[in-house]
Amino acid sequence: MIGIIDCNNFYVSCERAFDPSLKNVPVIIYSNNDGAVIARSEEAKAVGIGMAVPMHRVKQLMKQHNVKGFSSNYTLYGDMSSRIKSITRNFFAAVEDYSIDESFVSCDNLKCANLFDYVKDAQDSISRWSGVPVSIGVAETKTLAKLANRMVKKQFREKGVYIIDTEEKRIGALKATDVHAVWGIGRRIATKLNDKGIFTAYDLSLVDTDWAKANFSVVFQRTVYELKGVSCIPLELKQPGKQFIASQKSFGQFQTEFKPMAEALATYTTRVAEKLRRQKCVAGGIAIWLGTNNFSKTDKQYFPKIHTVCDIPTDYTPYLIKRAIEGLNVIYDKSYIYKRVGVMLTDIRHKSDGTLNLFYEQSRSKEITIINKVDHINRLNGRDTVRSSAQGFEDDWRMKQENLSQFYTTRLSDIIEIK
Amino acid sequence: MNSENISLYKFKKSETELPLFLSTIQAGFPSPADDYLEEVISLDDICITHAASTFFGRIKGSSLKDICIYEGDIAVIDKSIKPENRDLVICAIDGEFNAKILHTDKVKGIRLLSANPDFKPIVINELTDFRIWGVVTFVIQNIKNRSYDWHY
Repeated sequence: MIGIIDCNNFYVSCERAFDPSLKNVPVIIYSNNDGAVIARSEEAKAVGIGMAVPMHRVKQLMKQHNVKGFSSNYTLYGDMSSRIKSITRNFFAAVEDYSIDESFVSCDNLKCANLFDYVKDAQDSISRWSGVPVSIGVAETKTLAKLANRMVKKQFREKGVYIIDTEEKRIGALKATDVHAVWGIGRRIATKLNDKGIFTAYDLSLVDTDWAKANFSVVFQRTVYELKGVSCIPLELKQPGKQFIASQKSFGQFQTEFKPMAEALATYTTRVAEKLRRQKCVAGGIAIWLGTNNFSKTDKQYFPKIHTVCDIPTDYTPYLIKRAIEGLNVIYDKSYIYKRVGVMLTDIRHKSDGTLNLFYEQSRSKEITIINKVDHINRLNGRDTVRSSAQGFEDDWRMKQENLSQFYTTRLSDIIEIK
Repeated sequence: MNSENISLYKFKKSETELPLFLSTIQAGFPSPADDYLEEVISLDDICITHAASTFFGRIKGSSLKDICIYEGDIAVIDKSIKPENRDLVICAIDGEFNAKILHTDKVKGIRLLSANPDFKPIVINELTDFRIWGVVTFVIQNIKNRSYDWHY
């Protein structure tokens, strides 16, 4: 059997875990640049706030129902996600981290007399220990487990667990689910299926698998098999080694000048370099790119990209920034209006790996000392306390995050207050 | 090193990697201590049993002064521990975090006590909006900064 552990309203729950005044009130989270709604509490859904709706269209509703809104605090959500995944491993030996708020787990070979009691205890503990409520759906296949999880959210919220372990329950769950809500079925395929008279997951589970392959694809055929109860999407237990680390963000306002874009690029490069060092890795190459506003019908479009190789694989921020800015110089053209800049570290390997320090031992050990000191100071006093001057000190390019909550779990100055 | 009942140990900063050998490869004699080195002691090992469910909080106010916990102290809170009678717990009351001593008593029911006579005990009945957020396991105090507070 396969289980899926899914955090309920994950972003909202993270905020609530550290701010008890948010209990039972409508809460929403804004997307990057505070542009649209990306997460809603149940209360917010109830007052009619839609998903992905632009902020200016919910302002009225927010005022009317006293809805609390937050900029997305990915520092907090990311840390809570890794805590939840670590706790999950106390209960399940085989775990596939599927997304920031979902993990698939194997429910075979658990040391328990009763599967429901075991899963219920796990659900309760993960929720309590992390402070973020989770639901668990269990079934023969991943696709059915996702369906079971949907059943929890729709019908068994209080229980938090639903196990599809009989033919009756499988058919019941299939019949209760629209075909577009099946894992792996997109809107486009759902419309096609509707045209062919297939409306529920149950209808889909009855189709012939050869027909599914012939008319759609192998991937789609797998979904049909999985709904029938035949598992064909196994758990992916080994995390594929990270081959690249990337950061791309849109500007708070469009940019044409070189300087603010270079500052933004230096800042994103600093972020990916920090991530690189946390993974105890070095990068052999760096790619950067620019983008104009592809939604605009009038602006000239330009999406240049450049990849450069480092002299030696490194994790040293100043060097990486230097290479990034050099790259920007090559692709920058001042006749365009830019919306975003991105940076990606490539050829990532473990820092103990290979040739790197042989010829540069002296300078390299100095770099390590410096960058460790910088990381230490920034960890204690907050990000960018010590920074490269290339990052600049004005920030009109920066993402709009006007209502960001604190970094409760990762910054000492931001921890909760206790009276 | 012992002085009466206090032993002194070498401490390490958490996550700092110290090499487990002293001598360098290039030249000279290997240190005779190389074979006897052990991992240094870490404060994390002492204060944190369940890292994933451990959070920090800063104490405000004086409600715990009688058990010598003061404003500015940092509480180490473990959410995975089941609260027991007389534990110092963090609860969410009326939208705020409070540190209280949990009392469960057959006659008096559940009460939350402060360690300061100025604060009245809170009796938990079904109507009180109350839940235990976590159990305090350690408190970190900056004693050096406080040495002027005492009259010794």
